[in-house]
Amino acid sequence: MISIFRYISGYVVFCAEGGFPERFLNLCKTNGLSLWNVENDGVKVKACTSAKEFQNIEKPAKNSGMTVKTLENKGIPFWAKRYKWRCGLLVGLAVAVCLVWYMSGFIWEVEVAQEDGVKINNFTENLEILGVKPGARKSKIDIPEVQEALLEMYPELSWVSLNIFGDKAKIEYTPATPSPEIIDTKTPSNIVASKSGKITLMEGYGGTNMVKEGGFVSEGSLLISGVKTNADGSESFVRARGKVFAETKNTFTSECEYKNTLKTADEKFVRYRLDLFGLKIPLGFKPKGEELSETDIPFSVNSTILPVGVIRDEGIAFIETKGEYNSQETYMLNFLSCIREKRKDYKDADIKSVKYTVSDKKTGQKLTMSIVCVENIALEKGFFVEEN
Amino acid sequence: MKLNRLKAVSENINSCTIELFSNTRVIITDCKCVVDYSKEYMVLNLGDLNLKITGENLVADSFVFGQTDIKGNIKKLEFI
Repeated sequence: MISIFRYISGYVVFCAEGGFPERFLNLCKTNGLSLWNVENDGVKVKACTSAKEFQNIEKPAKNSGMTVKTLENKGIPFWAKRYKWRCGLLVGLAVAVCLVWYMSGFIWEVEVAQEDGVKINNFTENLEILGVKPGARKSKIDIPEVQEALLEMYPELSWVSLNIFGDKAKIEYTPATPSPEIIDTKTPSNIVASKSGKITLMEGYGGTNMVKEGGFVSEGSLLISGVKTNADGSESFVRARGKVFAETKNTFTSECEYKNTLKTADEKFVRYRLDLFGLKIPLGFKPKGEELSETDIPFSVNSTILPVGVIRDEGIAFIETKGEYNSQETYMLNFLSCIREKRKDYKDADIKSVKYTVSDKKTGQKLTMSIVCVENIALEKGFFVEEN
Repeated sequence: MKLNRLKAVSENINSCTIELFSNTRVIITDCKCVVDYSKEYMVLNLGDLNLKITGENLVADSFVFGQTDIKGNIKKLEFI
C-alpha cells in the first residue's frame, strides 16, 4: 500500500558518493527528509526519497561532502511530465469512456424468439410503435406495460416476455391454444341454396334434409329445414347445419381495350444507405422509379448484431408511353384479370372444366369464361319464430 | 517519593525502544544518529549508549526522523 502511495506521489532513486555517508544520513534525518531502501556498500550510498523531498537534499549532501546523482525517477508525476504534449490521448480516452457509457443506455438489437416457427404478423412494426426498437433509450421502456399491450394486440398469444440483456431486447412469446368453438344450436335457421345446380353430396348435421342427392335446385331453394318434427307430432325449431355440394355452372366476362398506357421497365437501380445507430444516411441521390425492396444488412461480430449496417434499396424505373396492345396481349390481360378476381371465390371448389370465348370489338376485346365446378352451395338463413 | 516517581517516568519517556522481529528486522525508535554504517554492521547512537547491529545485507528500509527500520540477516546486537 505504501509503495502505491509512493508511486502516485513520485520518488527518486539516487546515489551519493564521496564525503561522510553517516553524516549525510544524519543530516537528512535532522532536516526531516525521509529515506528508504538505504544501502551502503562502502563506496556509495544508494537510497530512495520522495520527489518533493529530493529538492531539499542538496544542503545535507553539501554539508557532508557527498555528491548526489539521480539514478531513476519513478512515479506518475514523472510519467505525466514525459507525456504532457500528448494530452490528446487522455482526452480521447476520456471521450471514449463517456461515449461507451452513454451508448450502453440504448437498445441496439431486438430479437424476437419465435416458437416452433409460429410467426405473428407485423410483430416488429408493433414493437416499434410501443417503443421497443434499435436506438430506444432503455430507461424509457416500461416492460410490464409493453407486455400487457402486446397481449391486448395479439389475443392469439397466451404469454409474452420482454427482457433486456445489456443492449439487446429479447421478446419471447407462446401462442395460445384456441378454445373450441361453441356451436349455437338454439337459434333457429334454414339452409338455402346460394346458387343453382345439381346436388352431388348432402351432409346434414342438424335439421331436416329437404332435397336428395341427384336433384336439381335453384338459387334460394330450401335445402335443410330448421323445423323438426318430433315423434309425438309436435314441431321444434333448431339451427340447421350442414354442407351441400352441387355441380354449378358460372360465367364471367372481362373486357379490355386495345389502346392503353404502357408501363415499360427502363432500368434497375440500386442505392445504399448507411445505418448508423438508427440514423439513415443516404450514399447517393434517390433515383426516380419505384422501390421494390429494402434489405437491411447489419454488421455483426460472431453472433452479436451491431447497431451499424448498410441498407440496400432496389427498384425499377418505369417509362409510361401510350401504346396499343395486339390481340394476343389483350387476350392475356383479360384472362389474367379474370383469374385474379375469381380465384379466391373458387379456392375450395373442385373445378371440372373451364371454357373461354373471345369476341373482338372495334376498340377492344371481350373474354367470356365459363367454369363448371362442384362447390358447397349451403347458405344459412335465420328465421323468426313468434311465440303465442 | 512523588518526585522520584516523576523522574523515573521521565527517564522512561526519553529512552528509545528496540523492536526485534526474528533475526530479519529491527525497528529502533528515537535513534539519535548513525555512527557507522555498512552492509555488514551498523552502529546507531541511542543517547547514552551505542547499539551495534552485526549481520549480512543490512539495509535501512526506512530512515525517517524518529524511526529507523533495518532489514537483513541480523546476527548480533551489541550495546557499546
